[in-house]
Amino acid sequence: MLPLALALGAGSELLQPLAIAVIGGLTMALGLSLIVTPTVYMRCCEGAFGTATKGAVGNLFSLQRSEMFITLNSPKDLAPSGAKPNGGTIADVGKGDCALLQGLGVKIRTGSYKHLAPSCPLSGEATDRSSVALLV
Amino acid sequence: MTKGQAEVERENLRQMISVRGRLEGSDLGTAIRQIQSQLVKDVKLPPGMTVEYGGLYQEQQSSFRELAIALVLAVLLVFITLLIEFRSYAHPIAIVTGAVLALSGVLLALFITRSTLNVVSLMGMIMIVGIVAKNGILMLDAVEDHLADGDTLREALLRSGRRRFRPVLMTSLAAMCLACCPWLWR
Repeated sequence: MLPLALALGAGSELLQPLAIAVIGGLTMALGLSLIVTPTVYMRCCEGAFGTATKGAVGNLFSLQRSEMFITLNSPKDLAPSGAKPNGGTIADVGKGDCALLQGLGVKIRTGSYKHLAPSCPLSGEATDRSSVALLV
Repeated sequence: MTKGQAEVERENLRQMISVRGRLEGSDLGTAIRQIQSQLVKDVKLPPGMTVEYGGLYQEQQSSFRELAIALVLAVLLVFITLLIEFRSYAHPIAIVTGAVLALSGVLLALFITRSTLNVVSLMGMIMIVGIVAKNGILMLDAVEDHLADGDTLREALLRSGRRRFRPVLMTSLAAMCLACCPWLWR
């Protein structure tokens, strides 16, 4: 693009605006894709991801409505005191959240939980960390 | 005896006189704007007579419209593709926001170099949407990896930003400086 933008070579006058547009856009994008994209992504997800850790057991059932959070393979996996969980997949539990959930008496068992912190000890038959779900 | 026209042109069942001109040292948009503002001031048309701007200007307007539609379609299709690929709204919203905002860089560069926004630079804008979307995918794909490693969302974003800076820089610089060199020796 640079030779085009500087209008070197035959016929490049015509393509010069293209080169200028691409160079300008890419330069701006260099910063934006590293700053704006993660920021917007975090804003978009924060509401969804953030509350999962705050709510823990008490809100676990209300969170199941948003399918970003919790999926259980079978409803009876997660059914203390008449609670009726829906399907969903837990999208994010960080290292700290794991301890928080365990402190609140949440056990971790097989299911379809993808992003489990490696520091989370597993109970039950779960062997593969890519396939784990939360069990209350 | 007075001289009249030897020929009467017609278009759409109406008589027409075409006024033609050749531009020098000015671009089409500026010239047309000048003509339009001057015509309103200077010329009083008799009833039943109208002015239409045709020729290159008309063609330029229609190709502009087509490219603008293409740009909007490009953004929409990128969004839909990402929506299907990532299976979430958060990813495509973040990526497309970055891509659309990057277009401000195009306008800035055109402004700095005093270039006009023409059909060719609109084509550049469409290219930019594609390239920037790719940067965003590189970025958020790394986030997925880090989340799987057990990072929180914030840690994952920071780490993937650090990790993806080099590839993003490499592809951008390669496109900017080198990829278009072969065009020189056509």
